[in-house]
Amino acid sequence: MGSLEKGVTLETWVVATGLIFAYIAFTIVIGFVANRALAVDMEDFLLYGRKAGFVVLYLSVVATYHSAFAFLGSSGFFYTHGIGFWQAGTWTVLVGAITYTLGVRIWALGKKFSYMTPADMLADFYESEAVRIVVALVSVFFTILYIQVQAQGLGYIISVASGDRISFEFGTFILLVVASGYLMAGGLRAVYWTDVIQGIWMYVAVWVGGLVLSYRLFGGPLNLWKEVRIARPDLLSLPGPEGFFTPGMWMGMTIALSFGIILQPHIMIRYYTAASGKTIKWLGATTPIFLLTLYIPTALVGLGGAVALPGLSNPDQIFPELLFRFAPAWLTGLILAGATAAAMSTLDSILHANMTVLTRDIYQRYFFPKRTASHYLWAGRGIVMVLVLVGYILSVKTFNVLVTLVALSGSGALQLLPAILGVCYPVRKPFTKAGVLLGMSVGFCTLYWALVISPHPFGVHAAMWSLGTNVMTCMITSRFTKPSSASTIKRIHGTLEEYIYGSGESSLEEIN
Amino acid sequence: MSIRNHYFPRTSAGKKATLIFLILMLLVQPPIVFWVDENLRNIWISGTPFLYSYLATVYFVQIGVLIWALWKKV
Repeated sequence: MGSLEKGVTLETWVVATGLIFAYIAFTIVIGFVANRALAVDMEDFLLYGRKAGFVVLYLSVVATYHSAFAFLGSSGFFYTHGIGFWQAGTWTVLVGAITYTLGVRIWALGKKFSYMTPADMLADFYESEAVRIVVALVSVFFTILYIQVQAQGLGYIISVASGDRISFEFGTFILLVVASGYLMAGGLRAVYWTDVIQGIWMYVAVWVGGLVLSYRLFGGPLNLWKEVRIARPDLLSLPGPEGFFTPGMWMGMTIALSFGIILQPHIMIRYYTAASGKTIKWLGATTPIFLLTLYIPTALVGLGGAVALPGLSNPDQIFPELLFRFAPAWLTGLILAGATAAAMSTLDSILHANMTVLTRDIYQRYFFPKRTASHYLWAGRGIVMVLVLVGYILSVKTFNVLVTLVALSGSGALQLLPAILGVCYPVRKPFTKAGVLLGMSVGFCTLYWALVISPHPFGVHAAMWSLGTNVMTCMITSRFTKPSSASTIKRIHGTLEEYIYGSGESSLEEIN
Repeated sequence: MSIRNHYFPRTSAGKKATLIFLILMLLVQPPIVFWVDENLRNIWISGTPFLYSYLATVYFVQIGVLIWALWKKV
């Protein structure tokens, strides 16, 4: 961070840090306002009362989907690997299609059978407590690591913005406390309301930053492309300067970063919260616009940065490095506050999802099944405090095993795919609980092999290997093992048949 | 009620949307995307590399297909 520190003038750090703290104060106010609207009710606290409208849900989903990586990491990817990262469009568009087709089914089942977590739905269909426990643990295990990633991102941003006057550890601590504070105060309502601000802020900030830098450094985006063509033509072809974007990586990233992220609980639970199936379909058709276009300015930053500021030891620093050197103080502050928003909107959602899964699938199910809603609300708040403590320790301490676990986490939730498709897409011979459990086990073992022992064998992304073996195992095992009872399959698949091809949303109102 | 396979769309609009979306997805996947890069690398469109414009065009057409599906109530 040496060169960065030299570039930080008094005015810049004061403005940048001031804007970040102004933003933080604003989120705290929103948390308190949300608290006043909160009803003592599990669905209200955990699922926004299943009343999220299009605008709120849209901004919450996109803000949650795009984390600190979209701000800092994607520019770094363009900086290092070139135009190949525009491949991001394949998974962002696929996210829309998955939401449109799969998301609406998850919403319909959630509404009809009052599911609150992914494990609720899967345990019900596969008639298995083992499936519930495995899915709950997988959901928590593979996302709790993201708390560490986002918290570290937040600590880094605030440390950079203040020119190291605020330590990384203290910055991480402040932002974890703020995010957990408004979550505990207002539940998912507070998360959604802050996400609305965060989604708008991050989008405006990254576009303004990308355009201002491209005009200041090159006289505009078109001149920037010209300069890249002259100075770094290797960045404008595949597989990129370091040979990263092989065909296998290209396809693997498309699958891992679409299905793999959507199946994580903090995104999947959002489907349950929609006010209607139509809201989910609107979401599916339009979220790729936001998700995709965010990478246009980060391409300008990354590719332009490779020409203007080559040789950075940490490419993820390219955006803040350029800002501190070439942008006015107010803009630097605005954009770093936007980066804070991107990280916080993902962090609060992961905290919320883990709280929901642990409260609903473990605490309520196995320890204290018949308590009041108020009891579970307070239990959830207690769980958040524990998660924050764990997240903070993971963030400021370095454990070698964590590096491995974080690498695994990206494709971890992807292993739920066969089980979820088995519930949401009726077929003549559905998957069985033995099939999905064995499939997941084989998938995780393959993931460990293809990511840790022998990374991306034959240039094919680990996600493809693990998902392939998972699906094959699940299909073969399901042919020879006992399926769920006919009544359960008929109840759940019948609901989907009636909802998708029958009387639509009116078919869901009868039970509720 | 008989429950049929849900992997295959049943309506005409659903079939069209699925087919077009999948074909477009193939256009931005290997080997086609690598063929485009290899053979059309020197072409520039509106000041941007062909690969960048090509991918952007396909992505936005895919989004258009999703919006069309919404409009047709698929």
